[in-house]
Amino acid sequence: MTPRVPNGTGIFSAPASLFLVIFLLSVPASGSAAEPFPGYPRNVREQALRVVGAATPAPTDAFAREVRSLRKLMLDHGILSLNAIPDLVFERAVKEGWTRQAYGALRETTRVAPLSVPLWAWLTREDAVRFAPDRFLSDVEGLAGAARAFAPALPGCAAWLMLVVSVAAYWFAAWASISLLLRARTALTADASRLFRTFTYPEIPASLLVWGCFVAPVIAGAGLGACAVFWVAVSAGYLRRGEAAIAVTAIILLACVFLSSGVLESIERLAIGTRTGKWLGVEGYFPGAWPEVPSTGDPALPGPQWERMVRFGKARAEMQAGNLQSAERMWSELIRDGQDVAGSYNNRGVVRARLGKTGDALSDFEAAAGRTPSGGPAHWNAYQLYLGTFRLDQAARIQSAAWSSIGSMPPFDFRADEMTRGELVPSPIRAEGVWRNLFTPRKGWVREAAESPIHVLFFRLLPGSWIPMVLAAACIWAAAWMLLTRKVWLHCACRSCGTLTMVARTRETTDICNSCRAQVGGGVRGGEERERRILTIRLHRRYVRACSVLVPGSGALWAGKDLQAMAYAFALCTPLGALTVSLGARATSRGLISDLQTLATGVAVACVALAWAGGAWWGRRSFDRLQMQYNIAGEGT
Amino acid sequence: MQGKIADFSIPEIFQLVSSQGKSGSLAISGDDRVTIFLFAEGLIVDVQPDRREPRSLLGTMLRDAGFLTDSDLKRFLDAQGGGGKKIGELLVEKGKISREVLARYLALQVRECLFDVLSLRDGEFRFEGFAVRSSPLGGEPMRPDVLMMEGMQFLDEYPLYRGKLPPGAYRAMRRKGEKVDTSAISPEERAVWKALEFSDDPDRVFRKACITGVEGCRGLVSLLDRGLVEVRAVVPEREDPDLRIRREFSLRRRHATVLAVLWAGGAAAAAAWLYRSLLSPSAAELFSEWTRFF
Repeated sequence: MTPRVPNGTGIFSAPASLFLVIFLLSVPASGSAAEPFPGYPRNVREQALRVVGAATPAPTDAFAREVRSLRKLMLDHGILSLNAIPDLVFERAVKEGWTRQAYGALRETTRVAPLSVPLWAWLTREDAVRFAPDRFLSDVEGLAGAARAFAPALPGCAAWLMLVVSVAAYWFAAWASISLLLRARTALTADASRLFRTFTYPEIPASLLVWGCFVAPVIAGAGLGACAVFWVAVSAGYLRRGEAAIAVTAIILLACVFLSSGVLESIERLAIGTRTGKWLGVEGYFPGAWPEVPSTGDPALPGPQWERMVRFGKARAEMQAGNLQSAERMWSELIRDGQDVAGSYNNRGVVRARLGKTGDALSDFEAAAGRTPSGGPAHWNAYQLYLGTFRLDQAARIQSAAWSSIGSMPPFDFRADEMTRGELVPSPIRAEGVWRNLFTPRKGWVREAAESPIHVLFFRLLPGSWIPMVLAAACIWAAAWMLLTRKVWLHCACRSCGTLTMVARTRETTDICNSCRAQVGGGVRGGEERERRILTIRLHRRYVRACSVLVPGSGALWAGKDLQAMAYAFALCTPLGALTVSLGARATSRGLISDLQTLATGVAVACVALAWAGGAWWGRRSFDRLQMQYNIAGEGT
Repeated sequence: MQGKIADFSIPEIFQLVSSQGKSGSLAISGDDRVTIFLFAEGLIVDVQPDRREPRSLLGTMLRDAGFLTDSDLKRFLDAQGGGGKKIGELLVEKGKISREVLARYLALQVRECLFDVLSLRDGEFRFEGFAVRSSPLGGEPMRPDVLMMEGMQFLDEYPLYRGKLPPGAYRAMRRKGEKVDTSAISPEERAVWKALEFSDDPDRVFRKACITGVEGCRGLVSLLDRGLVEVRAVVPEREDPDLRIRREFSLRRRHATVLAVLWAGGAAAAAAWLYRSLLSPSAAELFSEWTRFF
């Protein structure tokens, strides 16, 4: 019998095995590629990774146990939330294809990431989709609680909302300026033709001139805001009062948005990099870097508030890292300086309790509880210490207050069966201070707005320092033209039939011609004049209908529904703003935020499509009704 | 009653018929044309201009005034053929013009024909008496003596006014950009000013204004003196109004089409610009700068 010998072709031959070993060693493992929980104590990091690894489509007892263990570890280190966990669980779900079944696992992670605003928002959306009203209400409460308690969420939400409102305002300015220019185009062309009296057909160069006014700033690459102001200024002399209100609203919105870019700058300065481990993320992401504490009176941010928040954040980070001695010193300094005293007392109590200074800790908790009689974790912490030192009568005295205070701390889900093991609950950075800091008026806003990327995008060609003056000049120009048109002879195009007349009166009294007022249809009973009028009506109708489709809702301006058109424009521009911002946020975010932004994009696209189609139909119908009212609906068909 | 104009002047003839309250027709011939005035109890109720002079025919007058196109006129003249109805009645029946317009233009026709025969120096007249009933569509009968006085005055003044205008054919138009407070000028000037919007051909302007050529010249000269209009001589040429309208309409349509294309291009440029500003990846990147810490 011939013995079998290896023929050398198997994949586990020695050279191949050696190659595979070298190759596999040279490829970095996914777990070591990037540390998902940098800065936290090692046992917390390892347990957090176990939680992420234990997540399954159907929640299991094993997963719940891992979550409980992590939570216990977190409270031992004074950590309130690990916001990266739900993102990592969701990313794993996306990778493994069980995104739609991730609801149970993500709900379980609320206990270790209660301050994750995207998590609560995602759960709220799922509750709505699954039609679970009871869960929905509690998740909304959690969302609100996270937004209140987790400082980085506020600048994030504020920035997103401000961007949506700002971009919506830009869309509105674009809509208003284009539709007003189109509305004034006919009369503007007729007046421009007065400049070309010597030409055989003066209307031809005049039309080109008006068209050039529209196209030139676009081709020159001017920003949206600059173009809008220019177009409004060009059409100002031909506007009715309602239309002038639209124009002025657009300019005022542009001014507000210009200033808002200064606010955004300060928000960014306050909160940038929280997800990558900077100071404001201290309640969800361990901070890796700290901003400089500016001196009092620094124009960038108000000094004392800024200093308080930075110092509080640093002390919280020391607590979480386990540097208890330095944490105690920092809390003591904060208490000495009289800043956020209740939170500082409570946190110093937690640190002291962990250092074994039970008596000092108790006095800190009592001091904190005395400053927040309505609730807060200090009652609970004091109760826990009384129990731990067997002072049962004192524990019984504050038991009800402790349980009620710990039970009324959304988004934290402190359950009775898990909260009897001596866990002490620290106080987070107060978000209210962050909120107040964001919107404290500062002189630097205008300067920062002039230097912000938004200025470059929307006001190109205009130097930043000129913008407030240009916007004010545009308002004055529009108002001056409104007055001058009562004295200066300008053309006025009939809204209904497009006939041009020269008038020196308010537009309201002249924007319907005499023939239309008399409802004489074609105008005369026959002949050349009738044919001429019918041709005018036909061309005017085509023009207005085309405008209604391209700039939805603008047809209503011809029908005299100025304020309704403005309301419609707001309804159209809001989803457009949300679409613009969510596209940007979706492109660069990942995990839950990306999923939520995808949803926001989809909803915004649907709303825009609906509003666009509805506006086109409404504008056209309004104009048709106007023509019907003036008895020219059938002329020229 | 008949005779020569050289023996018995036109004003005297009209005064005689009027003062005696006669009814009948007065035919005045001269310059190779015959104009017939119809009298009812001494008042002029109608006139029949010579068909060889179409300018004075009612249909032509209404066409020149813009109430009819050439094709309309031809159709109504054809329809008039065997029915025996006057063209004015037909036009009112078909709703092309109103009774008021017809009455105004019939009165204008009478005045024009009367002023025209007043200038005759040689010719004949013939009056035949019979009962004449005024047409219900014809408007108010006119007193010959009043018209005669007016006509004589115009005949005296006409050379003066005409001399201020270019000899031969001319065109009149509003000065570009000129505005007029119409309440501050005479009705004659106002009528001419308004009609100048309709055409630059003075004949058509006067027709549109529903005034005689003499009145029109006077109004035009007044406006000229005020510096509101300008006139220029042209090579005598009478373009077919229908052709002119077709050309004008064709030009306007072409202009509108070119403009539509231009604005469509502008709209495409604006859409691309809006996309680049607000929806493109580069814009998204800018916005994401702000939402990165969300």
